[in-house]
Amino acid sequence: MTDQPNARAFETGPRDPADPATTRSDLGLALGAAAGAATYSAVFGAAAVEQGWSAWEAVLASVAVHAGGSQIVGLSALGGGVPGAPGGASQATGAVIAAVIAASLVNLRLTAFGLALGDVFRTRWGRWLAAHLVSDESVAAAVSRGTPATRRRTFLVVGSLLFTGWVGGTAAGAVLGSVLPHGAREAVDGAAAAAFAALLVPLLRSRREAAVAAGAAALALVASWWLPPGLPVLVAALAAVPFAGRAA
Amino acid sequence: MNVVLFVAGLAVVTYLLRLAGVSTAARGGGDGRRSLFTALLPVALLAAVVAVQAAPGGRPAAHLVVAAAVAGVAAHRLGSLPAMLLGTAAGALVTIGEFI
Repeated sequence: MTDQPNARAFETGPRDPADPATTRSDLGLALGAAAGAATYSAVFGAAAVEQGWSAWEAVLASVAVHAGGSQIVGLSALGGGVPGAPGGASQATGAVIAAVIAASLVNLRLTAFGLALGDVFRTRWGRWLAAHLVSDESVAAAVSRGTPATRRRTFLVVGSLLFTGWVGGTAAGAVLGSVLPHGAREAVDGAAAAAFAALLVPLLRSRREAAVAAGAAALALVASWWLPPGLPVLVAALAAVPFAGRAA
Repeated sequence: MNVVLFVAGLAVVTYLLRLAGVSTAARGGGDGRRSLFTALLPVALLAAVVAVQAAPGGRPAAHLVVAAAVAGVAAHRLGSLPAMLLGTAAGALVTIGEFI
């Protein structure tokens, strides 16, 4: 990452001898996350084109939003988004606003993930530039590192490759989605679940973390029976509260 | 046009949500309880994301549960990338089995 023009703004520091994690292990994490993201985003790209979006609109969504779950929720909320929908312009605008709200609910968790990054970015410019890379995967990988410098490096490596995989996968899905054989999309459906699980397990280093994870998963499952997409994950953050209180 | 408006609106809101978290975190401070809470947040959020991915709408789907379980077990020994690939392959096998 240090050969990029924005490296100074990102404050990428020298290797910290206190943390044995290497750039190579960051790349391993990043490739795993990017492969999962590419597969998942290919499904989004193909579904978007199927709904009547153009390929460039699907790719634009992935570049500008870069948040998988919300793009898929928004896609189903908005549908084809075809101009001239019955009811005129005001109804069409209402549909867009409703879709933005529905999709934004899914992204509320990104604020919480950003909180977990802690002191990784100390300058305002660093935060403004890095904010777009905040995702479940990049933060989960970063917090597995021991020092601010290695957390910063891991966040940037995983975040950048993930973004690349996400956009590339969307483009591939949008262009090639229609020629994929029947069932191919369903077959790779599990990529996102597998990628998130592979990132979660290394974070479970003690009984306390395992208990928080189990509680959060149970809360999210129960909440998803009643709440719209996005909110169950936020509700699950409450699972961490009793453990934080106990340590005080 | 609606699609572009939707993408623009969602992009702005999503960026601000991200920035809010990163900026608040950078202010730092806080007591031990708050620090521990923010340290446990990724674990709680990620576990919840895995749960809702494997069981959309609270209803577990066999191929998604298998994908997550296999990846989780494999991540212990193999690392993230092989675990993710193994999990996806296992989920795909279950899906193919359902098709046959």
